[in-house]
Amino acid sequence: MKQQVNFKKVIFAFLIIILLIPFTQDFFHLFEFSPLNGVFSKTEKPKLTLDEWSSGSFQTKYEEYLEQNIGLRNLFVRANNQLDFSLFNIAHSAGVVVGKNDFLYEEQYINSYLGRDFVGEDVLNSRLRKLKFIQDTLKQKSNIDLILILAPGKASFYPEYIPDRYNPEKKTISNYDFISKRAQILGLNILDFNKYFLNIKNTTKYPLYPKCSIHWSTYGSMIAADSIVRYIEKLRNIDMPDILWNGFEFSDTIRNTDYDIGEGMNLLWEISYPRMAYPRISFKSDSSKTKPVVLGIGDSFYKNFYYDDIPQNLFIQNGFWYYNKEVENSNDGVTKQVKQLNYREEIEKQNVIILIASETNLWRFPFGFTENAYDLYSYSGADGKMKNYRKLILLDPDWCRKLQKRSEENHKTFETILNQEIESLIANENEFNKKTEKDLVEMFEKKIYFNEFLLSEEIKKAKQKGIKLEECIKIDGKWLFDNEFGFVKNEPTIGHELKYYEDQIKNNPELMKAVEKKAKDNKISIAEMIRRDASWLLEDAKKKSNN
Amino acid sequence: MIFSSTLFIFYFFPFFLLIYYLAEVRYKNDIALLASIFFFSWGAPLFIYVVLGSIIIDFFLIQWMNQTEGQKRKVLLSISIVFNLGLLLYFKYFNFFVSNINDVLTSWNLAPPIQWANIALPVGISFFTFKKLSYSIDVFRKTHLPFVKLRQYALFIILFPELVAGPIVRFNDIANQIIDRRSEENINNKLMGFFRFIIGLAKKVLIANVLGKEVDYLFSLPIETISTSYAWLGIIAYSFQIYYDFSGYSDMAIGIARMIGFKFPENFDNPYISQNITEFWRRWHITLGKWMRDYLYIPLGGNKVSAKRVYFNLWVVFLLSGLWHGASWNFVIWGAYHGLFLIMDRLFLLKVYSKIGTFASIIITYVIVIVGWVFFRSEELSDATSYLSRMFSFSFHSASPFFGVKFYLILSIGIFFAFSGITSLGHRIQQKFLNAEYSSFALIMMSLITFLALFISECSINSSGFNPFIYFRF
Repeated sequence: MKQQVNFKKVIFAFLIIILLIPFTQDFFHLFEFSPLNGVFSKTEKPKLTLDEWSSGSFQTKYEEYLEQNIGLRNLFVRANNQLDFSLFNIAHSAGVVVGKNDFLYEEQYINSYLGRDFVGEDVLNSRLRKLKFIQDTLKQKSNIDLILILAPGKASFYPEYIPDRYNPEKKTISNYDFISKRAQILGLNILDFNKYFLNIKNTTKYPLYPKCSIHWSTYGSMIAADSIVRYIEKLRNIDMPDILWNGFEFSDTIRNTDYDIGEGMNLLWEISYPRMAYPRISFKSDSSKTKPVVLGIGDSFYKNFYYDDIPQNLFIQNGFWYYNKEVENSNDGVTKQVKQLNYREEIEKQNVIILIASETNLWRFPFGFTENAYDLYSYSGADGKMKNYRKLILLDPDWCRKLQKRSEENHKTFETILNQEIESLIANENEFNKKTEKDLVEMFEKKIYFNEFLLSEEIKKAKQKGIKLEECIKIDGKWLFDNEFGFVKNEPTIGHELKYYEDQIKNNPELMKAVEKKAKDNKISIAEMIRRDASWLLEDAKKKSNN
Repeated sequence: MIFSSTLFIFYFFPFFLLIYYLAEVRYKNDIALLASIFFFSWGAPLFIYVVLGSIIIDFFLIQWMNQTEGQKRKVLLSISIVFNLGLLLYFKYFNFFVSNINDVLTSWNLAPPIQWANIALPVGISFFTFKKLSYSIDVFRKTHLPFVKLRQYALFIILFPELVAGPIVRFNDIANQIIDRRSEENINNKLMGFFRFIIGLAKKVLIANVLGKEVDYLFSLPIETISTSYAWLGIIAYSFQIYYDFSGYSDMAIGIARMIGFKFPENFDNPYISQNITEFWRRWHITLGKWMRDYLYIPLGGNKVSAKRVYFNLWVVFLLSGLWHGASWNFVIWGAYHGLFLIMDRLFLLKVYSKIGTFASIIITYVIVIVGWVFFRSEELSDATSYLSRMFSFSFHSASPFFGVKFYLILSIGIFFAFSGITSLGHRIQQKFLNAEYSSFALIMMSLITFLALFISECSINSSGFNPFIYFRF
């Protein structure tokens, strides 16, 4: 009996000691656990003040802080994630979906592949036509080549592993489907790696797309890089440094982004994956080779090229504008925002501009570059709109065909129909420009509310954030507005400020007279005189605002 | 601070136990009291002063009442009741009353709405108000002498295990334990208490929270998007969420109390195997039902009045029970709904159930209960009526929200254990699990199970807010 009692006491003591382990670990760090991966916010340790205590705010923050910093935290999180993954195929990482055979996706890639985030033909047509306008203008004016690159999407590449609950058989037209087709028709310079990778999927020896990654594999990105270099060479009729393939390494340790989703899942042990191949490459260059000045604008798929020093070895001044917002790999090593740069100046420094996006980002591709560049290079002045629309229409064979058909049906000349179309577009634009930011944001809010897919995403997001659905829709309506229009309206670049003053001059007949006279006296072109006067006005405005 | 938080499980609880066990007997009550004051202050840093103030007032008021007889004794009891109910009315129901008055004023254009700053609802006010009333009434009825020391009374009112969510421990049940519980402070109770605490934690975290996540999602969807089958699935899931959440919390409270020598009454006894609503209320939130019976229903006349008066009493008790749960018309309707079925049981339903057999009675009673849960779960009355109409609209066309294997597995486990008490074998296993003497081998197995349950629960608690993005999002 006494033995039994003592035995119970030992068991109880043991159980109490277990409760004290996290506290002990906190102080003595007896065990080491690998840190958690991913992007997440951390709560600072709160300071205890009377006000903070009385309001209850200290207690809330302290509990949050403790949850994040308790000893064994990393073990708890990884164990929980491993249990849910192993037993139920649940991924505890924002937006990650576990597909068949443990193939991991980001959900938005699945939605994009299935056409759930299709923004509509009108929106995409408008962007693609303007891109063609910009492509032709840059080539004519400054011999700059614009290249669109459609990086492969995981869901497009591995549709067979998409979970059945997404009804993959109910695929509708996607942004990729539309862009890839229309870009060819419009004559844009385009490299479609989504299509290319699918074509060679069953013939390549090594995975082009890893099982547990968002991005193309290191091997896949090298194949793409090789193709891009050859394309530039053909486009510009130059001979660039050579990429030499010196065999492959097969590593037990996965490299670069080849396991980025897997890492973000914070499991106890790695998910099994096929053997990954890492090409051993080197570069061969001499004085006969030409390195173009290249700017990359796009998403993280471009970053993969940096792992194997592609831009560093093959391009001069290899800039990269991440989502057209952040300047990465700048020459002075300082992180900048794109809006701090003189947009026109930066563009005109380049030989090649690469616009790159994966499938899931095509709804906003190319991240405001179209709006920025079109605003800079489109016609201005009283008849600017007419000239711009005329050019946009004439660049689009489908549009021309449609107007030609209309002219035949109405027994009018093509020119008459063309002018009518232009007037109608200008009228629509003028109507649209009367809308305030509030109107446009409301338009986006309605778009979300009446779209089944977008609404379901909002419900999930609102639940995650712990806010009401209406509030979440308001926030995202504003975000959509900023992404669609904010590039020009809200975040003007230095180039845009200059253009504002140039337009001011051009739209003022008296000022134009004076400019023409000055240009003649200085023996320079009117355009150059306008630019000089606009620069002076801009500097003057800045001085006044600083005072 | 809640029991299922990291702060409680790995900081407050083990350190409290260590200090409590190492302290001399004469200091144990004080340690429990200080810990309870800290526990309450953590959640209600300002309201603690109101609570302590009201404890002091009530203690001396009842001391005084105990020394009087006749009319004066009744008056002092009334003062105590009005004082405590007044606090409850003010903190819990004034916002509700003002809001309803304003609705009437604005709908009928009688006057501008009353300007009123919303009062924050202090944690546990419903529970400790009922405890204070039970103290006042039990002393009045001379069921038990009042406490001699203020500290003892304070400990009775704010003892932390049952402060937040019950069970409602009445004065008569616990008075002697506060004075002397040395006989209950043994290793058996400590161990069994620990196991009970972890079982409760697992019920809450591993069953209730899992079901709750999907229930919240389903209830947030626009009603037109939910089919009839998912409407039923949602409310069935909710019925188990609320059961495991509430009973889990009661288990944790009972377990902690047992570890420090207190024996709390049971609060749940397989409520979903009830064969009628009358039985349901003998199995669900048992301590509330008993409190209402002894302190409201019986003083109103109980069963010793005319049939009509009995029905009236029942309905009043259940209306007030509903209102006790929350300051909203939904809760009042929920209470009235149960009151109605209690009356119907007495009128004819019990006879019907006796004819249709056990299984059918259980199913019908369960359906009646879950229809009532719709009012309990919904935020607004209109939401409840929309949801109910969806349940009975036989509309199966809408898109199906996705619930994974985990949800269905946990729901199945929840259903299995909730109904396992139907059979005598199931019932015996439950009793053996909770109360019997364990062999050494059984102790080791139970300890391992407890450790595993604790580990998995804490993994779930700690990960619940952690859902990182792979990359930064623009």
